[in-house]
Amino acid sequence: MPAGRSSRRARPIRVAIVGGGCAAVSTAFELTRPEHEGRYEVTLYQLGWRLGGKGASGRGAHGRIEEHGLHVWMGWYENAFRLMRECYTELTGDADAWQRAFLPTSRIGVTDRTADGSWSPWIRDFPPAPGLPGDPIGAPARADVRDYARRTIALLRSLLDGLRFRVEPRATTGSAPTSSAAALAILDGLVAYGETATLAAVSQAALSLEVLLGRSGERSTDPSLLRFVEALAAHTRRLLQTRLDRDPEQQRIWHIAELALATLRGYVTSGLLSNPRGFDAIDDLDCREWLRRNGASEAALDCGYLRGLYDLGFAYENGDPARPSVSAAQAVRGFLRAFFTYRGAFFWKMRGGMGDVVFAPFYEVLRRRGVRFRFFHRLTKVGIGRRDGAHVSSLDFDVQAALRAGRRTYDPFVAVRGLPCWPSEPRWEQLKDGTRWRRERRDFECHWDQRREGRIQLRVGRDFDLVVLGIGLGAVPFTCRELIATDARWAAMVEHVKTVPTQALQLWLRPSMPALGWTAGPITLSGFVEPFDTWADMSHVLALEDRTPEPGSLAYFCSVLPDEAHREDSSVPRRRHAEVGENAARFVARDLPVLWPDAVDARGRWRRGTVVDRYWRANVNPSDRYTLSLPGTARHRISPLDRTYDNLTLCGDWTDSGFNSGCVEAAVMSGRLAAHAIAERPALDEIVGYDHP
Amino acid sequence: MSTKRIRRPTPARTAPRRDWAPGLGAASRTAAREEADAPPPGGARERIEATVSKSVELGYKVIDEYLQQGQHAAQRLNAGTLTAEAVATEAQDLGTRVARYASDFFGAWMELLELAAAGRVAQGEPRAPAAPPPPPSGSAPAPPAAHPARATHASRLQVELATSRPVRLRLDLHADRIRGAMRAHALRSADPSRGQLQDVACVLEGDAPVLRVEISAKQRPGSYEGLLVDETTNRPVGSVRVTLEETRPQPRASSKARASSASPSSKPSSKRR
Repeated sequence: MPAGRSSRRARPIRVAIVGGGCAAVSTAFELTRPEHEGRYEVTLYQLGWRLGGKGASGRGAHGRIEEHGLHVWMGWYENAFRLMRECYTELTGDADAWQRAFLPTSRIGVTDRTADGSWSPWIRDFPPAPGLPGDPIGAPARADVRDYARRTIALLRSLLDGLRFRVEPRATTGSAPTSSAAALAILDGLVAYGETATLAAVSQAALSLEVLLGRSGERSTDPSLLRFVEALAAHTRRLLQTRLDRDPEQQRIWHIAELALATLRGYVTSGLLSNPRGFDAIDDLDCREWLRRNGASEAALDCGYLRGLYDLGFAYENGDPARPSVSAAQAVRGFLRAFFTYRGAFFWKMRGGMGDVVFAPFYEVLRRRGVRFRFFHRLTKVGIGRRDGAHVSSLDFDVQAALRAGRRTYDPFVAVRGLPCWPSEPRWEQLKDGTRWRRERRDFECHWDQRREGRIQLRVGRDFDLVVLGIGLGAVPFTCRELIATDARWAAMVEHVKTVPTQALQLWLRPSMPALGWTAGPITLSGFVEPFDTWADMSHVLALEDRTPEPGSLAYFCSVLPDEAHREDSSVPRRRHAEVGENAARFVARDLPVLWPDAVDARGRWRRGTVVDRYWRANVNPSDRYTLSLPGTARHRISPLDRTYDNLTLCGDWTDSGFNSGCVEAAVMSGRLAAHAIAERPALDEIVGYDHP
Repeated sequence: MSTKRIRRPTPARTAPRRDWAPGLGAASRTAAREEADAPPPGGARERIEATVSKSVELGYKVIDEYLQQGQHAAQRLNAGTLTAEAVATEAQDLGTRVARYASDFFGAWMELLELAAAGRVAQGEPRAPAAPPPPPSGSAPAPPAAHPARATHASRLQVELATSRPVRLRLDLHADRIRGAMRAHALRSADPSRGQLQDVACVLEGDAPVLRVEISAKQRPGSYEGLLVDETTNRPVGSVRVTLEETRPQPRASSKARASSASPSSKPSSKRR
């Protein structure tokens, strides 16, 4: 009996949602819209004590915000912002309330390694774009194909505005040079033209020296002269390199223009404009490889801008910085969406922890709508019906904790500065034997801590009708063994769609950012050195913490973490946490002074008392691992709309969501698709960006 | 138990549309269809190829300009007429020219994309029938037209809209799912403080379903959306969205618009199924 076919249904359809990240919460939000008039009775089963998945955050000592990692929403997250705005409106009755939770920021930076081995940041402001993310569909600012082109022009003009030729006048005359030294001096000016990085110009300059030195054309074939000219050409190249090192601004701008040209060439050579698969036609290629095939120079391929794109997507196979890899299809799709469809601001930083800003409001709204939350439930097995092999027959859970006698529900929040916030640990006082468990350091989110209070099995028909599997991909092999063993597509998905661990670091600092030597204002910067290639100034959230005196600044860092084979060894989380701690110490001592020169004294030692507090974590739990978009893997993703199992749908940024990348927007899109799979709402073309090349 | 077990509905499709025409969503798709509904461009494929060539040529002209300037400077260096000051001045001129070429380049790129969107027609994709022009600004909205090839009950759906306000009405209908009478839910806003549009009903006049929407003059501006449900199957068959504009009411006290989706003069304000 298909869902919704009964006209006189006595009871609502019971939907079990497993997982509490962005995707799962989005599905719950869609299925419980008032328009459905209570048609779906949703119960959400969550590991541990808080919602959020990879977006979870908690409040620790002094009310400090402890994030899973750095999360910055982007101005093109149309689906995510739409749901978030609706959530805030429903919660507060104020349609503008969401704007008090998100801070528009337009300043981004990348870093390039200079000839002397140091790092040089490059900072750009992206102009505000019309509209706001999540504005109603059909608003004038809504992007389409033509909008891509219009915004391309705007971007290029912005780049060209920054293109300034700085040729320093030299004390030379208009007369012909009379010495090699003078010739080389003029060449120093001439190579300003060489900033196109075209050696043809250099070669032409070298040939001119042949005349300059009084050599005849006939003698130009003289081997010794050729060697001499080559030597001059080599010197010219060195001059060129020196100039570029002194003033990399133009080189960077040109690199981006070069990448844009290669992309255009790629459109043509790969036949993308007429291919019904859209960008998926180049899914088998790595982005750099595709650009290289289309003429991008090695210098452009190594520029900070492109490295930043890889860094922001943790796009390193096995977490190995030497193995950058991302599907060209997804990279180009992401580039177009990010740069040409953002609204309001390029980035939107949350004005608090992601748990507080995103998941606390969703929790409260969903509770009001009647969603039942079952915290402390770890999924252990998804059972498949034996008779037809085409439906989920059971869900097995470990019940990790029981409530104290007399408590009916678990109240998950603590108040920090009057705001409901998720704590970094369970509220032990509400749990049976909570004091003891706290002493035993039970970690309900840890894969390697399997202690439990009991087990339950939910049966189809008795306990649920439909299932939404919203766990992280990394947890699928541990919970969906039957699916993987019997269904080749599931086996291929877990084999090919890979994940990596990540690492995160937060530093609370006594001085302000300007006092540390960073004078370029609040920034989100990527393409920096490993082990922490991405940095965001998050000082604006300090006001929501409880530390006295308030620190002067707060910085978040994140990066991929080198992978290792999975082991069921309880020492893994402790060892990897220590490893990240060592990475953090090394990074702070060795690399951070490049960005914050005044944090250290003349001998390069950190000034005493600069770092007030630090927090780091190794995201090595299977469900914490980040989903990669490796070349050739899109075909192995399974869509939430897939109906191989007639009472099961999936959600998560690891599914085929239309935007196959690990990010909030992909997760929300996937969650909305899962809702569509069950309720046929929202309509597919209301899921912004689903139908996209 | 298996026969009574609740199953998910079968989705209309399980993968995104990846071709260029859809753009980012409904709005752009409508625009793309309007383009597709226009007379087929003469030699669209050839024009695309020509524009591609032009784009690439312009792109590389930016590089060539740099090259030529370098060569020119080298030649002047040979002749002994190049000064550092001249280098600086010419470099600024060069920047201006590069900016112009780049602008031309991306102008061509825009043209290319527009052609590519329209180019679906030339590539053999079935064309939708021609769409009538949009309603004039401020007029009462008109209902959508159903595709003639899919004429069902929905093809005879009529919409009656009573309002003194400038509104847009969008009807999203799965015509093939309608078995009989439909029930319309109240139209709700995402902002609870705006209230609901309660005067929404779907009635049968003979065999033809009629959707009636009445909007109070006091209703706050905004978008209101609700479901249409088939009463036989109790299954959603579509949705209605009414957007009340912020502009002032029309001079007349009241107007009542009625149009049939099968009428050749109807003006679609939504996509067709």
